[in-house]
Amino acid sequence: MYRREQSIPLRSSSAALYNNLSVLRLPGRQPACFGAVHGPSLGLVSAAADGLGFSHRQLQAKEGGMAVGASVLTQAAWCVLPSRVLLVLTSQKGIQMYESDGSIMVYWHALDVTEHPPAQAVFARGIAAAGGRFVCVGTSSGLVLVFDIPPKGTNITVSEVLEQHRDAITDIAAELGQAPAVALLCSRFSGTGKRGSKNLLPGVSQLLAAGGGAGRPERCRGGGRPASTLQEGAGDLVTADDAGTLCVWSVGEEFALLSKIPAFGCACSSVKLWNGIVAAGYGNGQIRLYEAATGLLRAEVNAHARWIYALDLAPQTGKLLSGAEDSFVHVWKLGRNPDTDDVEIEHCHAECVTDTQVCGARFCDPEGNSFAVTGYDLSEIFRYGRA
Amino acid sequence: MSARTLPLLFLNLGGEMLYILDQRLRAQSIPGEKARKDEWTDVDRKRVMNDIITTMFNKKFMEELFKPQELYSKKALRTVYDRLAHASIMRLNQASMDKLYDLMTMAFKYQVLLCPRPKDILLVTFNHLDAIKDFVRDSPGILNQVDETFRQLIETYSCLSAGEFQLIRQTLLIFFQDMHIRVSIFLKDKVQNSNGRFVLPISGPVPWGTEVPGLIRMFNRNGDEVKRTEFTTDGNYVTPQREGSFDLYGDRVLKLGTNMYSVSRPVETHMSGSSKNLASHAKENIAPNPLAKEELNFLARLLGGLEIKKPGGSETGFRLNLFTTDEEEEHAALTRPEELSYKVINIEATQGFTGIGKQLGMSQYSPVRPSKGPRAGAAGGALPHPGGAGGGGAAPGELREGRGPAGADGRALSDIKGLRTPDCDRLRAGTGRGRGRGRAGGGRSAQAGPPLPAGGAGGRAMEVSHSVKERTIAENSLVILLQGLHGHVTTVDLRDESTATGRVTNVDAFMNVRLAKVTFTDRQGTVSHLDELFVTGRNIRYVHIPDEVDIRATIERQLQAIHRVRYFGGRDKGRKEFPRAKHK
Repeated sequence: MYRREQSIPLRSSSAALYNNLSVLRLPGRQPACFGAVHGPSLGLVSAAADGLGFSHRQLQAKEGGMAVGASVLTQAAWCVLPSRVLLVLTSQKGIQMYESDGSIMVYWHALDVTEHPPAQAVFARGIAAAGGRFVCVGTSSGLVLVFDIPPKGTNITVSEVLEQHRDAITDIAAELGQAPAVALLCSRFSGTGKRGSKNLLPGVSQLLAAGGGAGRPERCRGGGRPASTLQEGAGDLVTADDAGTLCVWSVGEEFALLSKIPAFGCACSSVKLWNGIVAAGYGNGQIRLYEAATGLLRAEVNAHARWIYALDLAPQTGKLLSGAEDSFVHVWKLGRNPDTDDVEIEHCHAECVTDTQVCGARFCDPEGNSFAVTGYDLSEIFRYGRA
Repeated sequence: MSARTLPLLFLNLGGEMLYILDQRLRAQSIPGEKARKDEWTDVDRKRVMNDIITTMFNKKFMEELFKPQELYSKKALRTVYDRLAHASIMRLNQASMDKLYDLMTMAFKYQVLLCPRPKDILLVTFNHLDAIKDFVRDSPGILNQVDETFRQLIETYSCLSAGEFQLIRQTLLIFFQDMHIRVSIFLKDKVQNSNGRFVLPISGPVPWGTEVPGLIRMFNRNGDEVKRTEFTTDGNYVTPQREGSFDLYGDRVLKLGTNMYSVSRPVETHMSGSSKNLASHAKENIAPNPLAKEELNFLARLLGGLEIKKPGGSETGFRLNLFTTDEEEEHAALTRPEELSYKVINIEATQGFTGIGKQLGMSQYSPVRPSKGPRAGAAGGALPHPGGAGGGGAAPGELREGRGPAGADGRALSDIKGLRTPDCDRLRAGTGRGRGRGRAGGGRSAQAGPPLPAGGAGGRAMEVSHSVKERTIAENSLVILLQGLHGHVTTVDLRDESTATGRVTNVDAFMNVRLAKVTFTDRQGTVSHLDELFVTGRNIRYVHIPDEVDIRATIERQLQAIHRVRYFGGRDKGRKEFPRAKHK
């Protein structure tokens, strides 16, 4: 059971956009940072060190010298890489990357507006860190741009463009559980040692170490399969688009398409990947679970009465959080049957956020013991914790 | 976001406006024979409705509306509705107009928020159009106009995917964000809370195509269902009966967007005066709006398509009151919080066809109050009025944008004065240059922005300045248009009443103009010929824009030229023109 805790005030209300809440989880006692988009600006909140009060910060989407037209932000998310944490913003004009506290703009990528037909909206949407050194961002034309992030500095380059989607990208998710990507990430981290952690936010390194370490036993319990079978073709990244098509990719020097899950006539607004299971939330209120490697449908949940806006996953326990326009937030539990290896999902908790069209919902810790929710026109972030 | 939002926004708000006007006109009308000359009759009501609907569905105006474009600010849209409401013999004063606009916007916000699927916004629109068709059922001509728009809607929107509709809906929700005006009819129906937020029902039919929540089905590797479990929530949903019709005629099923007013259910608003609300309004005002330029273009284009009838000489024009009594109206005007008052745009764009007498004037009529203190300061009250009216009896028009008392940054807002047509367009805009930052800027109020003559452009572009500063100024002001005039022969009117006609060879960011092969006429009328003439920017009153110049295309071309120079060698290579923000 979850109970409502003290809510966090926002300077500006949240806009009705998919996954419009991002949480930078920090390990230990440190409070998390929250971010929600409002028109052309991003509201950042972090709890003060003493646990009382909050520090606010409004980040305006700078136009990188383009004075023509204000652009509306479409999403903001923190990308946690082993070497650094970036705050990535997407807007109608392009993609911006900031240092994790939003102080310094590290990189700016403009979208080419001229090559689109005039009636088509141009924007970027869908942000995920993948493979330890990549940040993937989707665009309205269906491209996924893969940025190669150096451990420090501003020499960010577009290393690849993935062209599989034909509709606007809605969401991108990287493997959260025990997958090759995390293994690589941990070894990398331990290899670089102290030198690498110098630039990190305090505690991010611990987080990564903790995440990787704790994921392993869970995997054994849940899956019971030898690790080698998982390594083969489980996929590291999943992308979703407006038509509902999902693509599963393996991350490496070259990204390779592993499977493509065809659309069934409904937009997929949010997607997550955990231990080889793709969880996708759709416009018709359904959550569907697919096998990432094969693209097989494993479970279908009539979860919400309206369009799903946000999904989140707690990597250590496999808990799934879903929020939708029907003002409900549900917590689910994913797992695998140890005998048949079938994917299982059970309903854990339902919460009605009265008169709020939920547009963002995120777990605040890797175990899924607390989560935060915000909604359209709401100048608050509601927090819920396990009672 | 979505470039397809404006037609839906306009038609639905327009529909709501017509509902309210119809209800108020009915409430105030008096049977024909008993009415005094200044009182409403049913005939007048029909006439007003017909006039407004004709104007609203004007073919040219609809064409402009359906072009793919971004949504502009609430202020810009409000101006269009001000104009529309005065398309007939009816007059609304400021307080009534404010109230009308609040009601319209809140009603449509409710409909957008509550519509079950994003696609159902189209059904809401159809509900409005169905009702409008009912208003004009006796006039086949107007009915035809509405049907034409109907067909255009079906043509434009029937091919869009659910994802694209969701984007349209999200764009609309961003447009309506932070509006929490309380409406009595909603409060009475318990669909709005006292804090201005709408109630979201957790019962009733789910959207078409959605299953009632509660079922989990699991499949094995072969795709066979192996397990089925259920869960319960507080929601009490049922399966929908049928889908609404997206055809020209049909049962829409959805009730959102139908007329909720009747004579027995009067129109009333409560102003939500919570401090938080005001704060967010103020914030919005402070943010400089870089779209201001485009916004003015948009307005000029849209309003150009609106044909407004001026009451004839003998007719006085009827006044409509949205409040129960005149005293109440007066009171509302006085107590309305400044931030909520939209006394912002004042348009006087007059077209130069004296014979037809087609006037697009607003300030002669009641709705827009004359400039008040803060505005006069902020909007540059000292702007010199365009000199004596030019040929053809064209009265100078002005399209002036003032700012709220919060004193928005004046830089991004342009004032365009004078849209004349005899043989040349004259377009004058104040850049922010030399202008105070409104009242909040600490009393440095408005020395008039130097009159910025603007010209159109032909085919030739001027080389872009090497100075970053000049480029930035040009990019942010209408000087860019003048720079696009390079190579054109044009006339420059100076402030000392002299004129110079010649070929433009250079215009810098400070509007200093260099002309070649000049015919110079001084104010006594003495003509002299000069090989070259340099005119200081501050001495310019007007620059005539040659007719062949396409203003929009010119500005865009010049912006691209600046862009090319700035990103020479590739986007991420070379030294950056604007250094990264330093850590504070």
